[in-house]
Amino acid sequence: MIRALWSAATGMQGQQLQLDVIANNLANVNTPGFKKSRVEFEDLFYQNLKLPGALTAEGTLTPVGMQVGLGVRPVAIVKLFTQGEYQLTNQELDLAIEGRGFFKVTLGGEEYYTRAGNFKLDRDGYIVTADGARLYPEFTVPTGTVKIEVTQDGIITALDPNGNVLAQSQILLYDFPNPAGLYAVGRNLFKASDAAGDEIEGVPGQNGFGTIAQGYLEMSNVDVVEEMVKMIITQRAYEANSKAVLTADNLLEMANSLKR
Amino acid sequence: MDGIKINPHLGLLEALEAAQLMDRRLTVTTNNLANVDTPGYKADSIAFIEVLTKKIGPKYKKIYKENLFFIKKEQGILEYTGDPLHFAIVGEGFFKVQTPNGIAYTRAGNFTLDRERRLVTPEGYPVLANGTPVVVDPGMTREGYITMENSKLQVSPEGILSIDMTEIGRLDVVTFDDYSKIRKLGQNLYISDGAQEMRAENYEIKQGYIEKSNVNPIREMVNLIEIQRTFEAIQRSIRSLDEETERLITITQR
Repeated sequence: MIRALWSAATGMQGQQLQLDVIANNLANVNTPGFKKSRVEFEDLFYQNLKLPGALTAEGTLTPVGMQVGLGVRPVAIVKLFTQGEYQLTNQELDLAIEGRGFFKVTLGGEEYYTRAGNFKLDRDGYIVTADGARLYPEFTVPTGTVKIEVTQDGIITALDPNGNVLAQSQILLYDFPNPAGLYAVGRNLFKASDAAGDEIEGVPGQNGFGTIAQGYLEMSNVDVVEEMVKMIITQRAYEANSKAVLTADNLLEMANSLKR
Repeated sequence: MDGIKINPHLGLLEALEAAQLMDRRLTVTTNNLANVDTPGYKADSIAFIEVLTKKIGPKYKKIYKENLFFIKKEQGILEYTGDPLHFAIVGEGFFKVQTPNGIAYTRAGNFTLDRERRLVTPEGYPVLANGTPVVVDPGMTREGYITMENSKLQVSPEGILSIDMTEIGRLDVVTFDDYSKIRKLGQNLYISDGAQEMRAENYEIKQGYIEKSNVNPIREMVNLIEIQRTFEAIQRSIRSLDEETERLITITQR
């Protein structure tokens, strides 16, 4: 019964974590470039009460063993890098990646990766994220620029009122063998990690990298209906596990009341 | 012919044994409930077999219970995840994975890539195809595997993996001659305990799907009710046996 109590407790803890992740996904339903997460479970270890092939009291061999499982544990919270919806904003510095890849930005000497393309200009003319992280490779928009154009293959051009080119540069994209292994630091930013592998640099539209759409934002890939359904399942699973705790408790109570 | 004499203490022993079995059933039911959301999890179940006529001394006979643990093989429902690295087996069989402690088997197809671009389980154990880890070559998959629609990695119903129509291997999907000789290891893995592995025949691999746990919460709830009530009955019988003994003692004291 004590075993059952602990198994059910692991079940409740797991569902709680699941709910935390769902809540975070739902909270970010409108966050540009946000990628939803999912909890993955695996069964915890097993206690072998009897191994198959053991000798019984009758002198025969047991055909099957006896194993009792001791609950569940979350093994991973995986980011799902599926494409988010596009939203037309008509802002010239809103850039969406259609396909694979991340923008690289630098903040305080550290390198980060992001899919949130809602860029701005800072006081020195650098292209920065809403948090002030600079787009890499750095590009300064010269004074006198009235129009910024970004092509699908990432060529960014600053134009004056007469259509003359003031400055031009190439936006690069970065990718990883295992993007799910990236380390999410919040603020729509990811950091490279050992699990993700080494970064691969590329030009938009080449070697499988996505293309860039100017004036669009990639929205969150959270599907509200899916999260709602998951929330219902989580709640019910939590409830079922709590019933198991209750039953184990009742049994213990009865066992205790054996002794008058 | 000798009748079977019932020793009241034997009754107590019987009740105790039954209570222990209920405890075991509760543990199994609870573990199933804890794993309602574990991919590829197969519910455990216990069957009770009564083994009659075990002789205890010259006169007494005892009925004792053997419990058989078995794993329910029922297919779990499929959940569409849209991740081209997720595979579900419909039908019989297991994926074969390489763990540091040897070969293990799994039904949980929530695979991912590691930094060496090998197809691995969430624990990082490589999935085997033709006996070797599957390496998704970077040159060929620069694009895709983000969504099912643009995935260059494809798997046929037989488990043949291909990238851009080029075959790279066939997933090892295996079954066993004797399912009673496979053991759960935790981490969604099974190992063989003397069962002979052979190539599975009746299966279909579905890409972009995960097989969910086959635990039926309704059945487990009914189990919980049954366990509680049976335990209650056992408790009552232990009580009355105890009361009888008490009466016996008070009679002899007079």
